[in-house]
Amino acid sequence: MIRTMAGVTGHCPTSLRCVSRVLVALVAVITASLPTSLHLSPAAVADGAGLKVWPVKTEKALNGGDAFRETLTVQNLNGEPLLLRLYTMDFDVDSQGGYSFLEPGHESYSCARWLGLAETEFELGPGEKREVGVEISVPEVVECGDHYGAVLCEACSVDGEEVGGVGVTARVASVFYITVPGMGPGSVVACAEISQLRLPGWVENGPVDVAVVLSNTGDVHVDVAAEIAFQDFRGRVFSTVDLGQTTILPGNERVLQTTLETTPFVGSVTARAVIGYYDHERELVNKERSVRFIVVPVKIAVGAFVGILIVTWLLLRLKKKYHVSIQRRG
Amino acid sequence: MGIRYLGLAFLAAACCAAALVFLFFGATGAAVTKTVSPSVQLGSSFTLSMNDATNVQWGSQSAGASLSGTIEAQVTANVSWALTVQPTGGDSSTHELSDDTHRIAASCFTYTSCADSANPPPAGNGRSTSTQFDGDNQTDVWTGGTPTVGCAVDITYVLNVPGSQPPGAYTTTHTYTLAPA
Repeated sequence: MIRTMAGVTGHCPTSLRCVSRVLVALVAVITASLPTSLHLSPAAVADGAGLKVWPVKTEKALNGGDAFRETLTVQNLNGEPLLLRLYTMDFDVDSQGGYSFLEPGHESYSCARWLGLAETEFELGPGEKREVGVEISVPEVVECGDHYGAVLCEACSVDGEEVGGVGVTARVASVFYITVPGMGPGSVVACAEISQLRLPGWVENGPVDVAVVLSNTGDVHVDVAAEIAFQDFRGRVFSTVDLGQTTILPGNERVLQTTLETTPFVGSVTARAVIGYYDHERELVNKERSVRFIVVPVKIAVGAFVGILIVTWLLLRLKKKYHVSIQRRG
Repeated sequence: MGIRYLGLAFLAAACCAAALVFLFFGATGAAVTKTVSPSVQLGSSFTLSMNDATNVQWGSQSAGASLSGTIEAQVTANVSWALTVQPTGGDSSTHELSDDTHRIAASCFTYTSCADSANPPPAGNGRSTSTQFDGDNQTDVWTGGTPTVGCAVDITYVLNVPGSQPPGAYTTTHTYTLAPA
């Protein structure tokens, strides 16, 4: 190999220094001919894609064999044309409210395959909107209870550049909850519980992290509104936090978290969580759960105790030094 | 005689005036109360806008580089919401950054998310700790969002390119999904 290279150069073939110079030069030429860097510029497939979709939640009670037509409206709020792709998927929601989307029919409770889209791909100009029909066809033979699926509207840039990097696309999920009521009363049950109210046993002061764990013990989804009120030791409500409204799927839990920013200086505090939902008979149901915790300003208490000790010690020393004594009059 | 005509003229003028008054104002007296009941049915709606990928236009970089950038997700919603992300491009099986031959491990590419300070802050929680993009599942960007207008979530990308990463044009696509909570 050295010989070959030496032959190429044709100069001082016997000099090792020359050979090494030639090698270095060759390596430099080969290296320069290869790409030395990573190319990570983003594709920007749908940069700034403003996409509006409504309705994003459809709830319907349908019997086996029934059909229903819903209309989804999709609007391009972007300044440029968008290519919209619509498709159906199964979904599940974890206890933190995080979604996972799966292929249609993956889940036993899926209704994604019942959803027929009138259009699956079309272009929208700037500001333009389009109504897309969603035909819900419930099979003749179907298990009663809740079935759900989602239509996903995904925005893609019409003139998307084919360049390397991280492309960003936006999509909006429109979810469908189809309840098949069953034959008799009580065949479906809508029920939610406050399964836990997580609070520390004692705190020094705020902020205090609070978690309310809700569980759906029925067999249809429930929309639950929750609120938590904090009472001091006198029973006076000093803070109320609206935890909003959430949908819980059958058999699932949902954790709603909040923070109590300030607490009373000292004493017991009662946290009282209240939930409200409509049951299967459309009756409003309220449930509540209370937990008590104690506010103990430990640092201040220790500081005060140490302060009292120091003052007492000082007084004793002064008494000893100046022979001060307290005598009773007379 | 003149007085008689004068009286008739006054009478005619009075009749004309009365007719004119009735013509213009007569309907007021005979008005029938009508009620209008405006009604509108509002559906649930979402607007999602992924803004400005210029901060992650990293261009040509050397292996071993540590890169960061921020993109913004702007949300308008009238129901509770959650925002998730999942890589959908890149490597065909793992969806990691890939140039068709090599890929950058998912552990090298993370994100955090927080409320954008220049916009109304959304209720709920982001990801304060570095989170890997998961090619198989959605990962949370924001949970517990409540109805809002124009709130924004900043998503900060951090990519640590391994020093041994072979040269190439690495690509992937991140799909952000807004869904009702």
